[in-house]
Amino acid sequence: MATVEIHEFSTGINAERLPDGGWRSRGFRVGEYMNLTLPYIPETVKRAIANKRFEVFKDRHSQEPSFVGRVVPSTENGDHDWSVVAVVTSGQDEGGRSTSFYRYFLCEGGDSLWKILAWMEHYQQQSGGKWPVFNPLASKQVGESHQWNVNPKPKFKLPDDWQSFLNANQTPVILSLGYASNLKMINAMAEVKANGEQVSWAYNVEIIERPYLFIIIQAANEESYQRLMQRRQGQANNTRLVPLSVDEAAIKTAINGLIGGSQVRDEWIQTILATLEGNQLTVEQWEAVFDAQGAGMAIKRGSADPRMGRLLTLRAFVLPETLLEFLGWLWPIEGRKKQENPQIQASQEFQSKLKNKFNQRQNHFTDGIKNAIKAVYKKRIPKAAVVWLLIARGSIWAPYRRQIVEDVRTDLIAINNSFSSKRTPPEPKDFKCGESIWRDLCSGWQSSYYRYGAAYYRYGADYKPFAELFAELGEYELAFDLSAYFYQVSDGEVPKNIFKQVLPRERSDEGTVLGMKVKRKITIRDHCLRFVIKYAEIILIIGFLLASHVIAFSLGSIVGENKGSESGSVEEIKSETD
Amino acid sequence: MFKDLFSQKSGQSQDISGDIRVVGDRLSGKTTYLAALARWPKAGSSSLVEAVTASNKNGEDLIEMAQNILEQGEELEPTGLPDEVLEMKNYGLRIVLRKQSGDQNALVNLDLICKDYAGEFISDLLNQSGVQLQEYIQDCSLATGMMLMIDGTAHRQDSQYVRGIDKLMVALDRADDRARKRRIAMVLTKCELADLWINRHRPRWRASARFPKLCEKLNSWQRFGAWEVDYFSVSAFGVLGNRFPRPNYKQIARNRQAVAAVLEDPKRWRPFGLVSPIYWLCTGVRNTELDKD
Repeated sequence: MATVEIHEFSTGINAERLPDGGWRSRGFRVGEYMNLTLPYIPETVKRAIANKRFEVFKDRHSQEPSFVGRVVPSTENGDHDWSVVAVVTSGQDEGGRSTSFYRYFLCEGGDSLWKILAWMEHYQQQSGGKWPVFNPLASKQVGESHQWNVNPKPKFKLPDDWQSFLNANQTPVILSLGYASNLKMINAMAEVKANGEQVSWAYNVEIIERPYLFIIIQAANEESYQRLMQRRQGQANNTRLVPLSVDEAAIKTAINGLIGGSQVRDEWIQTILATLEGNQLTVEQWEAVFDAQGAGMAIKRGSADPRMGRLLTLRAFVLPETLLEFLGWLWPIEGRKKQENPQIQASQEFQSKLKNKFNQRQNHFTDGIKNAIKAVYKKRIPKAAVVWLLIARGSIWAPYRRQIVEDVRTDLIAINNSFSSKRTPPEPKDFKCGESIWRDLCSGWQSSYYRYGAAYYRYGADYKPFAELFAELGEYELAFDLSAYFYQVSDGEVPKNIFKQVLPRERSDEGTVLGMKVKRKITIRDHCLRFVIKYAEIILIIGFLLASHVIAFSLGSIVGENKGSESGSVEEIKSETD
Repeated sequence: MFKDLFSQKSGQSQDISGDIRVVGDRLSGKTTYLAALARWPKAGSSSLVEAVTASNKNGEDLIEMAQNILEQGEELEPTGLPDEVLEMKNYGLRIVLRKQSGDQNALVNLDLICKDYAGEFISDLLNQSGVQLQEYIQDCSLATGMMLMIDGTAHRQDSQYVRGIDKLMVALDRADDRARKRRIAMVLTKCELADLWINRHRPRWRASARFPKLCEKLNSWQRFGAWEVDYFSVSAFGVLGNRFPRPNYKQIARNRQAVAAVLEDPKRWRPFGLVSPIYWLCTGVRNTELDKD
């Protein structure tokens, strides 16, 4: 026979003693538990409570307690498993409102639920049939745990039909009233059904929000049974539900903290990074977590709430595949101008606070940017959105623009090399930015003219958005060569300012950039200027001759006029004398 | 923010946002107010309020809860103040208003985040107790506005409320480095009760008469320049009848301090003044249309 310690603690309230010996609540004690028999509540158990692993809803008139039994596994920090049984009763406050109160019993080890249940049964027998329910008037002190002598674990043999019943039903198994006649039986059934996983069950419950978090649930009555069955049905095969092993509450806390507008705390960042690191959530589950905060609704109908701007910014990092949706939301193709969307500013300020916090997940940024530039090529988002993403002050994506410029350049060089050597495009897997955006470009290269500066746009390769994008990035990341390349591909010529940036010493109108022959765009003004320079001597001579003719003609006229006026005077004098 | 309201051309919808904390003593009617707001009854054609919809999961839950509580007679649980302030529910709601003038199709979207602080917050403030008090104050300092919900019948608590609110305001002032003006709407709740109902259109006067010390304190903070204050009356349940109105609720439990109640006649449910304080908190301008019956 061995002695085990059974600890306990309860919901913290301010209790008022009633004349009849009962009590009622005068409010919760925030963040506190009462009647603790251990100096602190194990962190894993606290997290299980925060994640609502023991939450059941009680009917106001329910006289019988509900019970929740669960094994709370240890974490990597070295703590051990705990077996916990919560006894839940309904109580009232001074306003006549009813709520659920919890008394938790816990025992070390993952196979100790039966020990707690044996003690509780003993307690019930000693107390005239009363269960050890929540009692704020009892005064328990640290160290006053229940010492309980246990024999070796008794074998609880389930009848054969129970076994087949359990085998025939998937978890969570919902039992109608009376199926399991007592706590020991539901625990034994859960152990069988758990099949080595952590045991969890709920007994005599009215409603549970997430039945899928339990192995077996016994309903308190027929109505509850129907509701639980409905809920189970609704949750079956729902791939968006966060699994039991994940600390969903911590993730929600981190997201709420980050988007709330306060200073960013490291623990929030760590929670997000750790969840990503361990691949704890699938894309669908992450989406569900963000949608619960309003991401989906904000995208659908817009929102003026700056929290949504922050939420979608965070989502665009966590799920790079959503970056496009986010950019499209900030920068609708048609409609408002940049300054008119206050969410841009909200996002930018938020990004400034996140600077360097997520650096270890570089691929989340580069994957997002690659998606974004593909979308620019396909004209699904405006170029300005990506320019903003990559050069805005404080942008968390900006540090990775150099990588993207390099990747694009590498792909273009690969295309050139491949076509130069074997006249075929590179293998799709060799592209750093993916094959799809270079498909049109490669078609252009297939043409026999592709190396001689022909107008590539004829081959359907409209890379003008790239030309403009890299022109704007040029000042930051020396991407003018890419801009020139794409101008050439799209327009068959390169604007003068870009050409000068790439080939500053080039005296002719042509040059080669990344294997592509590029031509400088020549404007009418350029044509005029060139004409003037080319025929300068002739123009000068003609000009001189013209000028001298004009001067001679002008002088002649002046002299002629003067003479004419002089002879006119003589006539007048003559007539006056006559 | 309000400048934007008028800079928009008629015919376009415009978006306004607010991050609001609902604070008040226990049993002051905070959650009932939010439930009534979320479960906005189908407004008549004369009402400015076009619709109230959820914008996040907590908002959806609130609407569902409100339906159960207000119409199906299920009871409201007291709001627990979670261990972590960030585990507190933030109800995301969108209130769509029709514009008063101009294009009839023009709409105003009020995107709200409301956090329903449990009443224990006020007693923790008074006692400077509670392990998370500082966290709550920090959270409160992020809000654009605060609704101070005062049970219109709890005038005996005037002195106590003054002390609590004074401590809150000082704490908020210290918690935020940015010197910015905040709005605080003092909202008298439970105005379906006779005396309050009669004076529902004179909230400032009613508040000053019932809670003179609290109003004086709020006014002095306003004079100090740190806060903008305005006064509102709300009734989540509304009344039945016109000339001889009586509250549209039935008691489900009663004891010395309070009653727990649900709607008596959901079909004739006409809550009063629910959106007016929110509109003012979001825009800084009082919309008198929203104070009408």
